Amino acid sequence: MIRWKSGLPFLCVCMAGSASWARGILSPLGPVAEAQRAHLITVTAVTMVAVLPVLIGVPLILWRYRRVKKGVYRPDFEYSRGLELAMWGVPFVLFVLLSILLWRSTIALDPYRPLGPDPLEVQVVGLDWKWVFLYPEQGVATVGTLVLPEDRPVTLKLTTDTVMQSFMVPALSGQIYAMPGMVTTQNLIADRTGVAEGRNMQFNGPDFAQQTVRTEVLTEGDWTDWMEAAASAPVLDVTSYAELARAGTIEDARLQFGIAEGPIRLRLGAPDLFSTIVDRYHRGQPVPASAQPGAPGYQPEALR
Amino acid sequence: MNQVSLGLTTAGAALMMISLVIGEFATGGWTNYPPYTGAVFSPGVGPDYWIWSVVIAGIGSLMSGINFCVTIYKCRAPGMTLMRMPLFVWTTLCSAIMLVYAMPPITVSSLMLALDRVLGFHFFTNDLGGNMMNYANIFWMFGHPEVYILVLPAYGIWSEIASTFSSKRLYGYSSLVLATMAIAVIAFTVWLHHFFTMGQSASVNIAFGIATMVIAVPTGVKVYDWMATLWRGRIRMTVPMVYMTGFFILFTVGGLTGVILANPSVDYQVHNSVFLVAHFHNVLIPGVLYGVLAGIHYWFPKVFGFRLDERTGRLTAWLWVIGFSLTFLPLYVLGLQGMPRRLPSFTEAAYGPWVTIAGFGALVILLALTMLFVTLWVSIRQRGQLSVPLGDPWDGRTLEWSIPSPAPAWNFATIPVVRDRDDFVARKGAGQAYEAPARYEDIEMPRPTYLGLTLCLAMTVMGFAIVWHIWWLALVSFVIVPASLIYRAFLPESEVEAVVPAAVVAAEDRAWRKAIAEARGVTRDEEDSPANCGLAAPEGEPA
Amino acid sequence: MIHRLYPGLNLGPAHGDDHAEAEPVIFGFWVFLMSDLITFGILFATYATSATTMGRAGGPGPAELFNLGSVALQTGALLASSLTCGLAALAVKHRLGSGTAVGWLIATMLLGTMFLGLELRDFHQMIGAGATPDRSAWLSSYFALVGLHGLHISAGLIWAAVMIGLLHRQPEEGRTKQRLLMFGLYWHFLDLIWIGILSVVFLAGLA
Repeated sequence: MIRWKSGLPFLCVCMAGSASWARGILSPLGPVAEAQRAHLITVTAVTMVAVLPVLIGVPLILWRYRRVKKGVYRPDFEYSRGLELAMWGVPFVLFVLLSILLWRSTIALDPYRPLGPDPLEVQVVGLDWKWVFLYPEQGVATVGTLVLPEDRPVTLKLTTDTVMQSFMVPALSGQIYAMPGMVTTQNLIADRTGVAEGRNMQFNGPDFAQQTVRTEVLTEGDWTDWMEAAASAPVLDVTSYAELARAGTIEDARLQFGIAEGPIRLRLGAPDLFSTIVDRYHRGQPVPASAQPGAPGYQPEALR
Repeated sequence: MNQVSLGLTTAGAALMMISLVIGEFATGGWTNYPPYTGAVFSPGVGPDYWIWSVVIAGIGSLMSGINFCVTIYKCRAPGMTLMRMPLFVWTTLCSAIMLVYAMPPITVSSLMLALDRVLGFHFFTNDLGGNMMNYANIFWMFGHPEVYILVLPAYGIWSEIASTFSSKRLYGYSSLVLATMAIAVIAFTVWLHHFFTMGQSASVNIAFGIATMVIAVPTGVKVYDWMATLWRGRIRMTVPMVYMTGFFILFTVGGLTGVILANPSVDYQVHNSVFLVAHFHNVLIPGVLYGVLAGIHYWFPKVFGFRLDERTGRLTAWLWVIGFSLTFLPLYVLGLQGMPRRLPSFTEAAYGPWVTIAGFGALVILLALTMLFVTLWVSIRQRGQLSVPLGDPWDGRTLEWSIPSPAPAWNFATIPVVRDRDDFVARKGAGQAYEAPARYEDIEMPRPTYLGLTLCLAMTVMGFAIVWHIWWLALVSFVIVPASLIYRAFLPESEVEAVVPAAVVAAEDRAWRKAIAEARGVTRDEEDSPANCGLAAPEGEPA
Repeated sequence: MIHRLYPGLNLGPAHGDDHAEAEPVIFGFWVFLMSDLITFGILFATYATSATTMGRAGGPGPAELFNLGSVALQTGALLASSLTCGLAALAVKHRLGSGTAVGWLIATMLLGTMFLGLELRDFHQMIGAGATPDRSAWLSSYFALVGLHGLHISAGLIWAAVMIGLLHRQPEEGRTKQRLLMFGLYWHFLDLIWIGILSVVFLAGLA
């Protein structure tokens, strides 16, 4: 609550429209977010046709027909066919137009629609209060950092091992829910290098605010180097995952793996970790609080 | 039945207050989504308070809904055809119908969550086939109609205010009725837009997105109808009209962002963000809260017999408009910057200035709230000067203004025969507004009863007992409910109903008519002066 | 007052003012029943979504648990009780004496108790076989849906007992007749719900 005060000196700068206030969807890193921003602007513009008459007309009417002015007075005026037609007709035409736009953009921006051949698959696991990213092909795992190559389609497969969460990197694409025992999909693509913030958008407890994702888009070469550097990193296997799954922040994960700074980069020791996590809810046996990551009664030993 | 529903609503509210005072309430937000609120993740009593408050208050709301439906369908005065009803009655009827159909989902989903928590059922748990997506669906089958349940009566209030304070017939009555009905029906077909992001197919999202957007059409028509009502009127900028001005401008902005949010592709970005928070406050505060405050100013003299002070009232209204704009409009920017709702702290510098403005706006709202109580206090102190015993302080158009203020317990001494939509205006125009009835009759009234209070206490205790798993107490307090109903059933009719003799009614009514005959009708110039005792000189005639 | 009398269950003009006064009350009760129908509708929908392999979560299913013979008996008892309940309403409408009405109501209660007893026996056997409501989502929704209907029946039995008392004490009061009409609506409504349960839960479950 205190830290934002450091932002106060920027007040004037920000109001003047400096780059620092253009975050998320306002400064996209890829075509999906760009299309979403364009759609937002189109919809706003079209709807203005219906909105502006009210914003302009109401003050005019209130002024023109204020009582003391003793203007034209038609106390029995209650119906006009032309006016009725316009009142129903114009919004209806706008509605039809907007529906067509909605239809097309929803299909074009469907998160399940692949954005090109040979997508990079990244598996995303939501925990309390951090995101874990698994790169099964590269044998790499990260916590709180998503590193993506430039210009390559990405398919995120999302689940959680706790309560429902909602994953979003606004500069790249919209959000999608991640739910325990279920897998959702988000396709995205980054067409320029850079850094963007992402986070969980669905409240999930005390340290909800800390559940952010630093998203880095690297060139293909840099990205490959980044991935290869994980070979000497600490390992994420079933045992260390069980410990990581305990409710805690990214800082707690740093302590666990002994990585004081920089991205938490790990070697993925269990290639099918993702499906293990999802399938655990479908074994036909109860998952007691002791075996439920995120629950106050969780015991890592019960998960191993 | 009215009393019982009020009692149950009070019990629900009491339970919530108790939890705020003596410990913890649910942290799951107003939707209380599991599995976060399930027993595994929230073993405390917080969600239980939420569940039982909602269930008990929900039953009260359901009963109110039934009561209004029956009263409006079956107990209208002679000549009061459906298409002569004041628009406020229409919107209340639609709201009541919606209550009847929308309350069961929330009651059921809450009770299912309670079964999960208390008895280990698996409706919404992570394991053994439970599915939290069912909760989201059932909750929003209530949750979306609910916002229209809130806003429709306010639409009715706006309709009454627009025509009264511009001294004009309401424009587009049939359109307004049609639009209200359309909204009430469509409201049940859009619940999925609260979770476009749950991973369903694009075609499902398209269907619900378009259904959502179509609501904007009848809503837009309503706003245009009110504008047309003001057009070529004699507009008086009274307190309700100040609220209405704020409503017009701000609600339209809320409508715009509603259309934006109806687009799944944009919703992916701003869902769960403060953009959404800004949107629903943008429709609910100017739409519902301003409407209720305007309605209170409008009908206060009818209920309590004196007007509210105009000067402080107007100041309050402007403070509400300014406070709202400062608080919630910055949230749109923050939402586009990706700031989630319910964020307890942040480090992003970009949020700083906007949050500061919103925080300042919240202070203005606090001031507005304070001024609201000041208005009440000032008015109560000056109630002698503000009193309007003759009953018609605003040159009213509908029949409630044709009786004394405060209204007698039996409301109308004789049941009027309705001939016109603005029946009171028609009568005033024909000079028949205060014709004494030929004869008076006995009036049958329900006797006062302790039933509502009993049930209120019993349900509060029951809720508390269930939250704390004190099963014997829950059982005892629950048994009180059917027991008191059965007891009442066995009371003889004379103990349930009382008769007011015709002579009593006649004496009071004649005294009032005598006062009318002696009073001077005031013009709208003197509306805000002590001369206004509630007898109006019609507008449009020379003073 | 506007009195548009709906067809079907009513008192008939022989009852004077009672006939007209019953109108808003009975109408209100219809509205309540529609609301209750939504309640059941949601439980039906929940049942339908959990009647899957995933919803059964490896636990026992309809084939091992349902006893169609008992269900058929329950259905018969409930349908017959609706008939006796209707006869009680007719006895009041045609002024056959409160004794006749009370007799039919007692028959209704007996049949209702029989239904409830059989249902409880089935529940008992299911729980004995390990099919408790906390075993799977499917069993949770089964017990919620069928159990809620059973709770409604229990409330109806208490109501029937109260009606017998009222018919005994104040048989000619308009309020008593109104309540009997409402009871009739309620009881027939529960029949309707049961037919839904029979089709969706038992017959479809074993199909």
